[in-house]
Amino acid sequence: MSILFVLAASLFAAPLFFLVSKLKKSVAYMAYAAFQVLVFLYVFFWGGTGSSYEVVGITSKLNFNFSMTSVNWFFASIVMLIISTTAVFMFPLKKSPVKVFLLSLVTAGALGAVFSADFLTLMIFWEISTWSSLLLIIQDKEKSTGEAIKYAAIAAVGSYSMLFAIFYMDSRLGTVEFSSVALKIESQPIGVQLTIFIALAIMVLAKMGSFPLHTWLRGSHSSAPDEFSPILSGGLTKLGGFLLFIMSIALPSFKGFGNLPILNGIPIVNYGFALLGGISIVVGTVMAIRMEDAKELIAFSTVSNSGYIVLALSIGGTYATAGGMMHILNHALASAAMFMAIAAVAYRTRTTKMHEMGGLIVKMPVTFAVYLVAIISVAGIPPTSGFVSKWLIYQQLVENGLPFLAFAAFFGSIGSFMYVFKPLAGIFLGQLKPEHEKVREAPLIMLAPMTLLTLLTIFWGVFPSNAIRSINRITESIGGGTVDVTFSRIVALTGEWDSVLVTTVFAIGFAISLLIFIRAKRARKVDLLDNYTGGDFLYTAELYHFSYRMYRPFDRLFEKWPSMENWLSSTSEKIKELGALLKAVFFNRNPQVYIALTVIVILGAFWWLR
Amino acid sequence: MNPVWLIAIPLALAFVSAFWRSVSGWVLIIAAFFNAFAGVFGVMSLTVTSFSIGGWKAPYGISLLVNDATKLLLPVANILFLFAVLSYLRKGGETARYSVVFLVALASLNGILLTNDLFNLFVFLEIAGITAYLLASTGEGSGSKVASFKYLIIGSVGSLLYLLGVAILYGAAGTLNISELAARVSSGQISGDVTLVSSLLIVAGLGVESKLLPFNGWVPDVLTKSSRVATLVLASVYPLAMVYAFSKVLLAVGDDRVLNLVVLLGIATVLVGEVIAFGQKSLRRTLAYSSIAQSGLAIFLVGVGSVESVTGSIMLLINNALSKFMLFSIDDQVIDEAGRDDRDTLYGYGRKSPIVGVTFVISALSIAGMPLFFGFRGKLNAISASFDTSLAVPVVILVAAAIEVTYYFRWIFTFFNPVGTSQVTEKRMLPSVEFLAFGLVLSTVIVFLGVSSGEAFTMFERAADSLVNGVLAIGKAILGGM
Repeated sequence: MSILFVLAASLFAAPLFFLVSKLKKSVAYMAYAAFQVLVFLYVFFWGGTGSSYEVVGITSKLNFNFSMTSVNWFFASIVMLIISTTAVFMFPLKKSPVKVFLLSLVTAGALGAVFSADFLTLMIFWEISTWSSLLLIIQDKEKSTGEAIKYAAIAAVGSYSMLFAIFYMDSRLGTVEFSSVALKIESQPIGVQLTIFIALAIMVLAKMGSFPLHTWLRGSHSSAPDEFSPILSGGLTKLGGFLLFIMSIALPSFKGFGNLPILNGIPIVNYGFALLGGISIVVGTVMAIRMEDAKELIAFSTVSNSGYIVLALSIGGTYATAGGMMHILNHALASAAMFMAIAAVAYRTRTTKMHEMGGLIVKMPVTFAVYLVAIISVAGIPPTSGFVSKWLIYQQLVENGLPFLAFAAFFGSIGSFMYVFKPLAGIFLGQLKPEHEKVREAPLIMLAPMTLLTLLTIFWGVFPSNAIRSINRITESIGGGTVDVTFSRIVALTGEWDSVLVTTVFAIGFAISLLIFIRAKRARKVDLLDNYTGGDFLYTAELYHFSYRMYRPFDRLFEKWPSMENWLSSTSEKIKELGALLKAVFFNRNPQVYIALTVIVILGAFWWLR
Repeated sequence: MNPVWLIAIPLALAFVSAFWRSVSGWVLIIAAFFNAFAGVFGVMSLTVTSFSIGGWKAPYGISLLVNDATKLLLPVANILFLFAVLSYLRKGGETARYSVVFLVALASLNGILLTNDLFNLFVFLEIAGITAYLLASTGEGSGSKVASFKYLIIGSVGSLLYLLGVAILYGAAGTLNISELAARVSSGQISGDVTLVSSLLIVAGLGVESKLLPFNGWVPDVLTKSSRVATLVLASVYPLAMVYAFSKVLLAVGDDRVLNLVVLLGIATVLVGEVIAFGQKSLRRTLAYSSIAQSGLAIFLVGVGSVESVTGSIMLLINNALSKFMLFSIDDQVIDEAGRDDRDTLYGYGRKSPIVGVTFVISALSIAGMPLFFGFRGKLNAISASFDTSLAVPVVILVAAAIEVTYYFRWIFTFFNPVGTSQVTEKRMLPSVEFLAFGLVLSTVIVFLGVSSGEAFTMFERAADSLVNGVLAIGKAILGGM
């Protein structure tokens, strides 16, 4: 088996699954899930061999190039893990032939992208993934078309920016393969390097959902079919991380821009890019705190975490690179777990509005546990894996002496406590609504993948060395520095982090609390309405669950913040106005104008060309 | 088979149809079938390239040229024409009533594709133009007559300018044979001023029909208001012939400075077309402006003039013909059912009629240039070639492309907008058999060409090579022989 076989199988599987699902939907979905799991297992366990393949045929000069280096393996494993767990997860949700067809195409595109060895191959497969995900987003909910168009517009901006970079590279360097470009780009004048970097950066920002191209995430992630949101947020945005890693770390952007002004050891271009990441963290965090719909909230959380990844991979340096790569892994796990938990809740309660639910911890305890661990990871608290990546990033920020970026990173961490708590309190804690009395836990086939992600989050929190070692292999192959790890310890600048020790302390603390709980008297269960609040007896269940606008003071604080959400619609209006003007000039109702234009152009051209 | 039959048969049958009304519908079908088969089988196997008419050898007489480019475009044009004629056979006697016009149009389009003589090209352009004016007026209501009238005015002016350009060139070079002229122009025998003026006039003349800015004022009204089959022919078959004529003539006799102007005008056409298309509320108008932009892109690539860019031009041309055929057919279906084609009417149409929806997605994504579809391959060539000139060119093209992708996706989303549960139980609508058949064929071609490996594209490269280098080679051979 080779990559090409897997890719070809993925592509051809799409129409096959479509036809099968016309006959029996569940069989097709089972086949799809099985296929994804098999691909993941193949990639994870046999990959990383470093082989590469070349297939003739994009244009007469450019070919598809695939490879299986450690970088490809890392990203492929993450993407396929998310896709395969979601593929199993989505089985009870609403199925349709169109959805399974588009899902297969999305997967095939993502696979081709992570196995690419040159920019054009990456671009082409990424585009396949993009247009099929656009069609997938609009499958379920009515408001999705208005949101998906924002994604289409921003994705188009990103894609064409990348195409510009690719063909500019081709015309200047004669090649678009990663390794060849890395060698040749240093000798190019600074303007060329800058153009390529910025053009690729636009694509990264657009696809990761980072400031200033973040406005599409909120709508697309929230109105996408519930089974697709984990893939979109946990898998597809990480392709942006792949490109970011290549352009920032693998291509020697630091050496190349070394002649430009340097701020605290970082070239100004990279610093500017990191600054955008920092702003993204802050914007994502603030906006997430203000959301009332769980999926929109997690979407903004994705904006914020994409900011972390952009920040980390732009600053460069051993710890930030390791931290950034680890954060890609962590956020993929956590974000997918969060979206899956919300999807499970929505499957049972038919809503994602947090203030319409409450008290579901008693009915859906496993889902609650999954969600809890995921948010602990997003907030960056040990012993989950989220802590390690943030810790490494902080190390680098401190070493380089970057106060503003460090402030943004800390703000994101602390702010994330607030926004991750909101769905927890709104959905799981508090009072159970009477209409949700009959709600049961999610079916096993949904629980299993979620639990797997949770266990992995905890595993890599307790043994982060496992993940760091793989990342070290990657950075070594590029020629960068590695992070010192032993079995349980990570050695960094301000000290070391012994995860096993910390976990043991946590476990002991947990055991003590458990002991106290068991020994103490049992709580007496009372009915919801056997209660009073604010000195008054209430007879409406909703009023006992305080979760609507629970951060109202914070909301008021940021109400008048400038918002970028309208720039797309304003641009669209301006284009329409320009179109009306052009129409009046060139496509006037009077044919005399056409003749006049013809004569003017001929005379003008003759005068100019003579 | 002598390709002159592709011109002669429809023309002869047109006379038959004019005088014998009752069989006019059948005659048109016979001619369309004959041309389609002859276009595919008769032409593909030809090895001889040059056919002289009336026994006068080139360069003294008119000759027809069959090179790799015509071998590619003739079958496509004739088959699309056949599809167009068959599409609305059962509904209404439009084809029967206007069969003379269609037959003459078919003959003239083939003539444009085949001819290797400038004045002969003028004659066929005039014929094609007149039939186009007539076809444009076939719509209901007075709007189409006004549109046709505007087309008539600008078209006539264009033809005159073209003729003037040809006359100047003839006066200086003494020959009308395109190949020989190519040899003479490239060897510098003709004064720079002459080539400049004649090229400018020819650009203006051919630009009218090829939808180049600023000569394309007629396009939106004509494409929006003419009737069903006429629109299909005008939007998918005519551009093939006209842009090919533009390429053929300008690559052969065009002055280099004028080719730079063509690049500029082409980019302007693309940008203006896409920007205006973005704001349109009716699907048909969007498609009309999109056609302008696609023509602009193809012509800009001709202006660049390298083999790579002309390959892209031919690919985009064929992609546009196939996709626009389906898109305009879909629009016809919608107007048939609902009377209008604005956003509100189209909401959720693709869910009620999935086959129409899928065909729409395939054609729209192909024109927008998404991978897995044919349009993407052409677009790659286009972007790659656009870096040959200044850096501003690819920026403009990519901005226009981003705008194009956005509005096409907006239409796709309109088609597939999830409708409320109350409307889900509506019966699924089946399109006509012809639509199913032709839609299947064209979609398969688009997807097949989209995913096939590079080898399939050598035929496009050979076609481009024959345009860029082949004509010149023939001309040198003729000159050498004299």
